[in-house]
Amino acid sequence: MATSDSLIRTGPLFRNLTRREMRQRYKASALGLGWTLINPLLVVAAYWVVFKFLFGTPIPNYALFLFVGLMVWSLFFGGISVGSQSLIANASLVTKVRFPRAIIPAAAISANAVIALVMLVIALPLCIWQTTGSLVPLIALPVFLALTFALTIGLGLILSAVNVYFRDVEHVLQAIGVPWFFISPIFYTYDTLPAAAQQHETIIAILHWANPISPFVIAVQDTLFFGTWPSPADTIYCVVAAAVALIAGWLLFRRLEPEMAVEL
Amino acid sequence: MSGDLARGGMRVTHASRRFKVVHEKGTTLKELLIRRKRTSYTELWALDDVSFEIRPGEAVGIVGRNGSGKSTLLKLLAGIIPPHGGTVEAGGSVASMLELGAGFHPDFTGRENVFMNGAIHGLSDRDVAERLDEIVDFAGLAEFIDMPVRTYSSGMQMRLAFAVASHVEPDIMLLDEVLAVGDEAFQRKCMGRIYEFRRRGGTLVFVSHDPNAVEHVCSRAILLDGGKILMDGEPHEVMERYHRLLAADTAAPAVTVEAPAADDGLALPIDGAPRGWGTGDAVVEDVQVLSSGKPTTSLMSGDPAEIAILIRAPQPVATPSVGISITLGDGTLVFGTNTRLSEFPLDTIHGRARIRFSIPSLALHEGTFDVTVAVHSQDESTVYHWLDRAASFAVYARDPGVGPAAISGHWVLDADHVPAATG
Repeated sequence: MATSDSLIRTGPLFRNLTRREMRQRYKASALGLGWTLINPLLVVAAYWVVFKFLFGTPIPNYALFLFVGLMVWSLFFGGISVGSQSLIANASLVTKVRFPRAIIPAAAISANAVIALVMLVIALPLCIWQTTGSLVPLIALPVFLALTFALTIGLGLILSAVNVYFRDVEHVLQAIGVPWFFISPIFYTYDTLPAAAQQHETIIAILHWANPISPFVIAVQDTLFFGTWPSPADTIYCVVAAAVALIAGWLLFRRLEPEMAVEL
Repeated sequence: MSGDLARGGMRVTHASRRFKVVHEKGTTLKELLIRRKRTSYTELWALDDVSFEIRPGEAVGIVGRNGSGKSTLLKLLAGIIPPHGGTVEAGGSVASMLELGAGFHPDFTGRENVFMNGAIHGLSDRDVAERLDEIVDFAGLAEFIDMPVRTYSSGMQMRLAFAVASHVEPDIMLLDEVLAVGDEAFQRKCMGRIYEFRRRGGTLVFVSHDPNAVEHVCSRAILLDGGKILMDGEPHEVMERYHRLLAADTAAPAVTVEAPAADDGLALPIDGAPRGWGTGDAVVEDVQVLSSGKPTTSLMSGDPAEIAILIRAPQPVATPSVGISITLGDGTLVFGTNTRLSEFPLDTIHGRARIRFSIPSLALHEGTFDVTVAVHSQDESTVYHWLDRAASFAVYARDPGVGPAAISGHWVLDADHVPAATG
């Protein structure tokens, strides 16, 4: 069937699905979108008390630093979580109507990204006001956020497609959520670890490079919170990882797409 | 790509689709990892090398028994599942309504679902907004449109779904049994809409069990059986073949039957050959069920019909009486009469004679019926020939309801005698 046709047709469907995802999340709740902020704010409060006063972190404006890291985390992990479940949640659409299936995880991830956007709107003026560094690196922030989004879409496509065939995926994600959060540099930076930790260079290197989200978190913290340019290594890593995830996700999804209606 | 296919045309070339009947499904990763050996399954062909072409503006009815591959074919045409072999091409936009309220979200209002459904069919929000009034009006849901769809009855959902699908103005419309739900008034409205769609030159593919709908709407019908095309042609003829298939199905349920009679359209009674006995002074040679003068095995409720009996008497037989009885499959008598009771005296029969029992309007509703015929002496003391289950035929209902007898009627509500109205 004509590809131009299907491209024209996907626009309204994507918008409608995204709107529906958002409405579905917050419908019938008095606070609506406000709920999306309650959880990060509570996490920030708890971690702030623990790490500021009990562990004495040297990071200035620690609460804001936490908030920035959480924003990246919720964009990424929230995205792949809702993305992985999206096809099953919309089984009635997949089995009865023809349209490019990738719209479904893409819409779910986009709806989730709105939360990160709200967090950004709060964090941005605070960061500009409080920053100890330069404001110039901020121009790179949209790029790194876009790369994070691309990584999320890529992984989300893979997980959503695989979850159709093996329903375990969403359980696995639930199980690894908290541990993954802990090994990501969200409430600490590798530079400000206690002296004792600094000896374990290998472990730190592994945590930095084997965890796909770490460089993204660091790059956003650099540009937004610290007002510094991300290291070339982190920058290259982000570009390559996002591209690889997006291409791999697209290819795998295309391969699994035709039979989805049968499996669901 | 649509290639050389005209807008509104469809082409199916050697399309096949397997179905795995998995005996034990390994859906979780754990099961896949632990049990390394493949799960056992049998493969069935839901569609087996099917080819046909639909010209723009044609209306094609697809009929077949359950499991014949109709739904699979429609899903292939709709592009929801790909064929395992061959190709399926469509020229232009395709709107499908394969199931009631596909994509309706129960918690959203009718209005929101209309926008969503429109988007599925490729309409922008503005397109939908332009048509919203018309859609809501067509569905007759003006006062319910802002209520969640979960509060709708299935009839209301189907009305809304059909209203949207029929207002997106596709080149090709695929409908699966859509007219099965909904009241008669709405069915008529749907038919009107379908006619209009056809007048504008739209292509229609329509799966239905309703012979009336297929014959009225379609210019062509395709009969599927066992995943293959059994017949492709004029709707009336195809429906007749389809009914013969159904009749053969119900008359011979999994009993070994010698098949010789099946070809000439005579569905076999349960135990093979008709059972006959008698003195043989007069013999029932042939019994046929006729519709408009032609032999048939399927009749429509309310239509005229005839039972024609061919009798041969080698020697002159004086004042015989010919009787018929119509029974259900289990032998329950539905109706019986003979020429003596009907005061239709017969003189002497010598050689061959044909006698017809003419029914102006068949008062049977639905089911499969057997005809038993007998020739006996006037006082019924001597049976010349008794032929049990000499013929059988199926009746298809025109009106709603169940059971063998066509008792038409209508409901009347006397408001005074009703307990306080609820909901």
